[in-house]
Amino acid sequence: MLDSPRVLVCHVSLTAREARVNTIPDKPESSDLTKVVLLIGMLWICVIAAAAFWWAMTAIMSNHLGLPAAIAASAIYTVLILAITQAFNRAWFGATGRTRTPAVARRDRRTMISATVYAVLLLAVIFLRVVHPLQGVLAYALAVLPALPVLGMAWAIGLYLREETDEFERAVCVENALWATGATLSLATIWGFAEMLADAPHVPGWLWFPVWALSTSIADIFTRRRYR
Amino acid sequence: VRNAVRDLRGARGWSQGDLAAELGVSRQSVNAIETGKYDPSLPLAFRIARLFGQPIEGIFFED
Repeated sequence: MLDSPRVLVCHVSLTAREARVNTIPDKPESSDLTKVVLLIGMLWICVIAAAAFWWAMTAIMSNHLGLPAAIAASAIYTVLILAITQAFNRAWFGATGRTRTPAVARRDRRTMISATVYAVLLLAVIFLRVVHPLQGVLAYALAVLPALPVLGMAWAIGLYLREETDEFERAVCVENALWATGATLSLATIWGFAEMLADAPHVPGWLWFPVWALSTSIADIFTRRRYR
Repeated sequence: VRNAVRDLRGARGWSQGDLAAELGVSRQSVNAIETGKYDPSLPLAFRIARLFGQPIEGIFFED
């Protein structure tokens, strides 16, 4: 392996020491199983939270508890989902054994701001539609509003790629994004045909961004495994 | 591309984290480079070479 005699000396004289050095974990990466459990656990918590929210909204509607109760339930659900996302993000980062770089901290802050704005805008537009249904161009303009912070989340990833000084982490992020894009496009195409030709249930278009985001986490497991 | 980064690091008694801190990269980056699974860019390769006081071709070798 070593062509240079100078390097060969290092190799021979320090093998034992090197072996000791190489066994010291700086910040151990969790097993792939732990990551999968973390991912599935987060998904289940989100599903349970969504089901609880659905149940609460149904109860509010059927008992005619009014708009303030619906807004309160929505606000609690939003804060809960944001907290779950933030906790998962931190746990996931810890599981990969990485240190949070300033670029990562900025990306997370931008993502959380976008997610908060998204939740507020989405709820506001939904309630506005219920209270005062709009038509035409104004309806389109309002419908586009919640999509803008989602684009903000994509923009946060773009900025991260520009600001991250660790080229390996940039490469991993790009690889994850490419795999996730391929997987999401494939899934969307397959599901589209299944809807058209096999009466599969309709999946709303806005769901594909969360699918993409989830796919990046799944891709991360495989990408890091390959570089280990 | 093969390399002698692990040997050079071992010679200094550094952990992967120590080298990562010196280079301003993550420990995973150092591990991926050492195992030959990730080829660093020329700027990073120059930084590694400068840190160990060797020419690039003294650390990185063609397969």
